[in-house]
Amino acid sequence: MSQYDEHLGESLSALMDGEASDLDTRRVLKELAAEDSHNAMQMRDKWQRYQSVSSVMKGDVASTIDYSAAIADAIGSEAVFKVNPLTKILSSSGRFAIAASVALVAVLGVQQFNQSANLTDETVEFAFIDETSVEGLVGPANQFPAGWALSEETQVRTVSAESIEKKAYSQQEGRAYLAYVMARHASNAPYIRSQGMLPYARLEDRKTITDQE
Amino acid sequence: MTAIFVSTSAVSQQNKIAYDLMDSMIEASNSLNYSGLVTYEKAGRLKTSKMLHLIRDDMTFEQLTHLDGPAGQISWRRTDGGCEKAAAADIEIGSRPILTGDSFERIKASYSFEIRGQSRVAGREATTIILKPKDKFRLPHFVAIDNQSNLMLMSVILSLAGKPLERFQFVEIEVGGDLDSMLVPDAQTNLDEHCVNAVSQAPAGEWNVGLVPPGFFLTSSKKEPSMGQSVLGFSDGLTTFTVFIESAQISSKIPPFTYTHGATAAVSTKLKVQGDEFTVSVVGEIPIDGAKQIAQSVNHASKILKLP
Repeated sequence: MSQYDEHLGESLSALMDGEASDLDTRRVLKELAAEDSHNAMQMRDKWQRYQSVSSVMKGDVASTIDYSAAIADAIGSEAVFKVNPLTKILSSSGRFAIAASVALVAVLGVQQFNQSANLTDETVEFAFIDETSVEGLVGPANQFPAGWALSEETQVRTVSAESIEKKAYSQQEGRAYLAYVMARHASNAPYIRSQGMLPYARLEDRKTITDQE
Repeated sequence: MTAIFVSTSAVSQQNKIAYDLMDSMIEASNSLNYSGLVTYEKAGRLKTSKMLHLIRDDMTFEQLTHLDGPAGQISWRRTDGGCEKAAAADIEIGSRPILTGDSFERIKASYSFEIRGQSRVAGREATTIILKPKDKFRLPHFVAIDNQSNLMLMSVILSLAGKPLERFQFVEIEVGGDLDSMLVPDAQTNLDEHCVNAVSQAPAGEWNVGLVPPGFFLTSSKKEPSMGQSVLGFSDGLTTFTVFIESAQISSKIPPFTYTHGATAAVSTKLKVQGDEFTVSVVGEIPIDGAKQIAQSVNHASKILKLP
């Protein structure tokens, strides 16, 4: 018997005697959580034996019938009233029925989508979302595979242009134009054999931009 | 001295192995049917897609089905030889932008190849190669080639500092088998038609890109009179960039900007020609500084003609 098993036995009997510390309780529960493990089965047997012995000593009727499975079933089949609000959000829409971290990206994206609702071109909207959700992603480190670093220039930056007098530029038009040239570039370069579909993978809106002009 | 000789010959031997491997990779992608799951990763975002690649005689079919985000599918087919005639009819347009033996020569001239070792990708043993650019107008590429089929299993574009900027990678791949006899689905785009259309358009002769880095060639040239726009595509057989020149009317609303996303850089600058302000934008998987230099080198043909 390993030292761990010994501790486990002690914890179990402490629990039995009502003298278990938090650590004892946690140790036993942890072991029981692994339902099919050798330890868990042994502990359940032991618990039953201890209870029978204790009942006999107290002069009670000792039952050899194991109700635990039936009770567990009954609890399991009861309706759950407490729902995690996140689960609710996740299940309410097919779009968000993905891992929570991904849902966060989607939520950020949707907010931006609404703000840019007056842009009619879908290409523009998607690229807009992409760009801003990247900004919003700086927080959770688990979004980035090891060795990846965000570019410092993740947003459109207006550079000073002294020689230009007209200042009627629109930031929104700039973003729309950026999305357009990015998509056009990606869809214009599908011919390289070794690259196969790679340029298409770069397309943000994931549709073929056909040259109808 | 012997040691130096040995190491130099080892390097050239390694280069040769890497070239041969790249050659076999191109051959494999031209002759094998394969299908698999691919991931595309850039700037912290991951997309997954299903890919189908079929070859029937001289016809190539490719399809990409998106498995996450908005549903969508992209497919195209092309027949070898369809574009060749058209391309020969107008040399100014440039040769077919397909990686042929000739463009592989260009790649060899623009990048040095180095075998990095063995790796496992999509559950298969693969050889990794790094393609180092010989100038500052290209980015390093890191590729993994399947030891069994010679297909490219992974392609990573690195920054000049060596950080991954985008990664295209198979997670599962099936080669041959049922795919060899499967009926080819209909494609959304027929690149043969696309090719003929592109070539029949007049080249955007009024604009001149002063700085076309060595090894890059013009792959497409389009002028769209309705928008007053000219679009020029360039490629070195591996890397591509596109030059956009916008009309004065459209230019008045677009601010100049620089932007990088994953491996793609976009630079938009202003150019004054006879009092009119035009927008010149360069977009490509190239270093941002190179894109800036290319954008600044664009000029109107009238200006060049006026030179003594």
